[in-house]
Amino acid sequence: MGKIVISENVSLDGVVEDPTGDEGCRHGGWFSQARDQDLQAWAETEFHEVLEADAVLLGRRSYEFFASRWPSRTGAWAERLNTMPKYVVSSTLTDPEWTNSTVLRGDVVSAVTELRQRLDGEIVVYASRPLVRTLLEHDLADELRLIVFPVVLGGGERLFGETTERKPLRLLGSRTVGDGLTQVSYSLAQSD
Amino acid sequence: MTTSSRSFIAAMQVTLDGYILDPEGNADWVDSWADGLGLLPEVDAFVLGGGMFPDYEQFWAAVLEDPAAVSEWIGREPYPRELRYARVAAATPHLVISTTLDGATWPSARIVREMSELRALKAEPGRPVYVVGGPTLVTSLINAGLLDELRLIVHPVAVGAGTPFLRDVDQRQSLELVGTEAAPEGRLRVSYRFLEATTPAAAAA
Repeated sequence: MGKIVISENVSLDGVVEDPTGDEGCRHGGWFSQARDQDLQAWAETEFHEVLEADAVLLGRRSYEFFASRWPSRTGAWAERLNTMPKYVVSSTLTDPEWTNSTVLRGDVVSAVTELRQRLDGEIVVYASRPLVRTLLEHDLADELRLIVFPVVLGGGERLFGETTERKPLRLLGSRTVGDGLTQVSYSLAQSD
Repeated sequence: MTTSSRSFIAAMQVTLDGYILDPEGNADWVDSWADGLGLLPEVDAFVLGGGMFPDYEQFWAAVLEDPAAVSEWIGREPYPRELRYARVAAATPHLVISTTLDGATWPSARIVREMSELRALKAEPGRPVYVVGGPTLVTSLINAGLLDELRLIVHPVAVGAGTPFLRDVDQRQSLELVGTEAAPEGRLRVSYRFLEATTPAAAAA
């Protein structure tokens, strides 16, 4: 059985929305404000993570965001992302163009449950806020990895939604990334 | 540590997703409210918002005067560190900012009406000041550029909604990570120093 790892960048006040500012949100653009050496350490952390992963799982909007950027990039990180299996949850997408992509149709919960049963290794979820909330609500996430950026935004969409019921977590580890970022990881206890 | 002006340090206990209270107003993940002070060096004063002060005053007065009542209230005997907190707090000036509270029974507390009084406290040389909370005061201090550091105990729980530890910060605040360490029970202690307020435009320039 695979392990679903939710891997997110988040501000100190818990906001995940529009890190790059590309979506034009009022609170967006906080990711690119980080210092160069921190972003370099961030990239190393992300690259290492994707090397360890066996698949990527994304919501439709995040998939399109990544699919419009990564195929034209070069280097070891891009090569890895571009060649590894990618799954996108969508009821509208029919012909995903990014190499090695598969659309998961129908009920998200059963499709992801089936995927998790079928695959081995880590299935990493990036961004994909609505999907993440669904995964959390249905106890389909095994691990949460957050890279906390040293910024308070004062507003914007958060990772956990109001409909998420209370989740006890188990701290797996924390470390500094570069000088200013921290990575914290938690396992999500299954509520059964 | 004495400096040319006092540094204001807020210490708060938050969930992983940034709340201090759940939607029902509880924070049962907190082991002890004394633990915030444990994140700080010796301080010259405590600063609190009027919203939280009545409960604060009642609780710590009971710890000092009637520990048996506290045991009944919280379901255990007060920890030694809570007795220490109460004694330190009783001996350290408390400035409570409120436009509505009339007075305080806490021996070291004084009600202040204006932010300028906190500004004056900060401008004097001395040791740090412990900003106890709540979120409205901490946010006001941030918006006024008066908060120097934020120290958090992050609890391993996510609640999805409730009272966020900051609310309505009106300008993006860049911080510098001072340190992070794991604490018992899966908690994390993290501390940040405020940098000059930045806007996306300023950062891009």
